[in-house]
Amino acid sequence: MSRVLGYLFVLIFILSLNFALPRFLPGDPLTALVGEQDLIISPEFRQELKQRYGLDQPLAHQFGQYLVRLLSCDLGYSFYHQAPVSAVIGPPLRWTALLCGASFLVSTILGIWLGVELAVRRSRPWTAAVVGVCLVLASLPGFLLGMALLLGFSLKLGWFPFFGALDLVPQVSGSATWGSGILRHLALPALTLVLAELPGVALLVRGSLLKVLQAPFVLAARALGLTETRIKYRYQARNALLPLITRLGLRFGLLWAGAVPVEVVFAYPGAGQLLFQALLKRDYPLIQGLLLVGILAVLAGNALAEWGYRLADPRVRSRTWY
Amino acid sequence: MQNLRDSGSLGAYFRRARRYPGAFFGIVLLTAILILALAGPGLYPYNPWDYVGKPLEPPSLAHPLGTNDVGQDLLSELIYGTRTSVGIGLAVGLLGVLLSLSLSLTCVLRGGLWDFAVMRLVDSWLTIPPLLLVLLIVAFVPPRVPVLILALTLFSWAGSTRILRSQGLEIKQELYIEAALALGASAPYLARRHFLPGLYPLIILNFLIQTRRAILLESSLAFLGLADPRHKSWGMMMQYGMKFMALGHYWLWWLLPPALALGLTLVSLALIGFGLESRFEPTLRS
Repeated sequence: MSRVLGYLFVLIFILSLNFALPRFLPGDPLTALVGEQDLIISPEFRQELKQRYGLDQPLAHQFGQYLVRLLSCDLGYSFYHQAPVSAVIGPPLRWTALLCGASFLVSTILGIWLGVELAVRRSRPWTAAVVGVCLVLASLPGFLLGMALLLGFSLKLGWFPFFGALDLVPQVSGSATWGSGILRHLALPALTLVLAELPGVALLVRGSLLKVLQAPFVLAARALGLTETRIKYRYQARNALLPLITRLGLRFGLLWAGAVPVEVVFAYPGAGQLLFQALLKRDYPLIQGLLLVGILAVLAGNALAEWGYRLADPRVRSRTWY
Repeated sequence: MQNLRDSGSLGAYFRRARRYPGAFFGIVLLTAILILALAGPGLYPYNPWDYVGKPLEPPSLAHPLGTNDVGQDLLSELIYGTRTSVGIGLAVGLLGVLLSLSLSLTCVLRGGLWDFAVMRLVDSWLTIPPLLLVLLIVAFVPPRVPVLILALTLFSWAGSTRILRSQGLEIKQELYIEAALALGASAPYLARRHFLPGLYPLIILNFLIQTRRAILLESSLAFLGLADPRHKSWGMMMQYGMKFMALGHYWLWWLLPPALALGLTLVSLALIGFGLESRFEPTLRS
């Protein structure tokens, strides 16, 4: 029960923050709705806008209205794009989902493999070097890695395109080239996120695996004559997976947030890039809508991860589901 | 016995440091960066806001790292930026660790409903991605340095609180705590005399972690153009330098120096932290 209460608390905190922040702006919340470039509007129009947005109502009533609008998926209206926020953020969110999903999958799978190898072969000299590299990579911000990759592979070597997500000239010959264009544009930003994310996974798996390397159940498995691969993944790594799964939701959130500067570096047309543009133009409804959707996605991811934790660990499963 | 006797001397210190070459390297690096930050104003050749040269000058004797697009000296910017980036990081680290220490100590000493409430708050707080929420805040509140420090602190305390609390609970099981309690020790006395020394290595470790995370977040914010415009920082320098990345070799003296400075700072903090961790958790040592 307390878990659900916790999520509820965070949800209410974020919604109230989202509601309160525009009201802290110098001037009045109307600035947040129409943007600073549209400040020169006649007093009558201003009054009309205030009425239309219910800004003359008491705060509690406004908050209620805000929640009702959110429930009907109305995130506001972007005056810069002249379109509802929910329509503006749709396509970029798909690109971000592609980018984050791909790098999340790759970094998790490769990270588990690397972590297991690093722990099992801990006495070899090269593992110390790899751990060192992981440590360095894990402590660097994503946009730094991104800039290095962009500079090296796109600008100097010319192997990959340096902006966008699609080939500019649509090829006549159908979906194969179109698909390869998407992949070539995706490669570097995804690689950046994988490089930023993988070392953390590997170090975590290595750390928790080192604790069970000499466990009695490993000896028992070996005595049964099981193959080393089976022992490694079926018996040892399963224990190491538990801390990883609890962090899945958290990691997804960090990845999602880390994608913002990385998309800016590669001018990838995802939600991060859109957010950057919105920040530059002070398009407040768009900023709020994007961040709200992002945070809600992360919260949902966390809840999912908790559910997955129950599947993976029989010791937790027996407790009540909430 | 031998070890115990000269464990305080400088020679013994260096002998021990050799066993943790990474951490030793990190400490040397971090000290150099801190000296750079402290001595900054005396070191930089020009005021980083003065237009002292022609725009986009390549490196020369007068301007070792050249000038930017409005003719400001880049080396001065770099040294000035040390103070902003590292200063914000240290401030957040200090505030954050104080916050998590006081929360975790009250949790351990008082227990009960307070402990329950704080830990549920920690659980849910950890699910919030800090960058997104800080972005939301500084998009609306002008990102002055104090605002940045407060916003970053607001999202850095939770993890450390959990770690410090669980270690504190272990200390609470010790016999000497029971003895002190039997002798009528008060909670503040227990905290000062027993918990603080016991938690000391973890406090340092969490301070390092929070500082590192704050520097990383601050640089990302500055890179997205959401930093205090009155204080130049490494991230801001990179944000401007990025625009000239494709132009000739400008990245060599405009982008690379702040990137290296930021990278080395973060790596040195991580190395010290990793050394500490493997010192207190020997299973992690390879």
